[in-house]
Amino acid sequence: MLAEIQAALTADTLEKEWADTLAHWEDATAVELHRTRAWVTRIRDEFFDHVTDVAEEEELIFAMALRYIELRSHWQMLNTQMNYQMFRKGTCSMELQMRGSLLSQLIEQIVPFVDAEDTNRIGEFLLSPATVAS
Amino acid sequence: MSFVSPSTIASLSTMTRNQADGTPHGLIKLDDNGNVLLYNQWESSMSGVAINTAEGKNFFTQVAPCTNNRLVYGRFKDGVSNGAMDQEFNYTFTYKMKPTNVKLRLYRGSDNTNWIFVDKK
Repeated sequence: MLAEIQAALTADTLEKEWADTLAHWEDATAVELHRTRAWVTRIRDEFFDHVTDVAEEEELIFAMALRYIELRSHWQMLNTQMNYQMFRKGTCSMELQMRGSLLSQLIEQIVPFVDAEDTNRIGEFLLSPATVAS
Repeated sequence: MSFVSPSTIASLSTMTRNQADGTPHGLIKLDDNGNVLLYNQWESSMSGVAINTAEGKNFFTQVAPCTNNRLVYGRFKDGVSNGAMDQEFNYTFTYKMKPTNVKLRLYRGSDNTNWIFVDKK
């Protein structure tokens, strides 16, 4: 399982998806592009180091679910922030939008390692505060 | 001026799948709980969610969880509760896609049907 997770986190397809997404940011400066790419790369690399250190299959199953919760929560907060910017100012930070897309692409790499029933339960749990609030 | 034509609004009560698929923007029909009754081809292509996957599921929790907040789901619930809804606003989608800026229109027809229209900005 460890090798499969490591391969998913460092897959060429993920790198290409990130590059394609960032290429969509036409008016970005080199600094903004570098900062945004470094941001998501750091999240991925920390994750990679974590699973490499843990390595035990049973712990990895737990770690993947925890990381899925962490990254889904993080994405949800970005989504809320960017859309409230849009609501209040009529526009929102392109860097925030890019972070949202890049992070969701990383999340997609994790999904196959998390039990489908767990992803549903986690999704429901993460959405429940909004559901209650609205 | 809305991206949804008056003729589309006028035809909602008799909207067929073919007509829905022929509209030049996203069109989603929901019941009062947010379950998807009709999901058109434009929306499916934009979101990457197959029509038969979306229909029957809850739009806000299962199809487009990025809309499960006060800005969209809250307005929808308010509209259903008040029996009237017609709001258009800008929104950004980023889940499983490149950043996509859209216009959303939430609409409740006189026959108590609920609609979400989507168009790229």
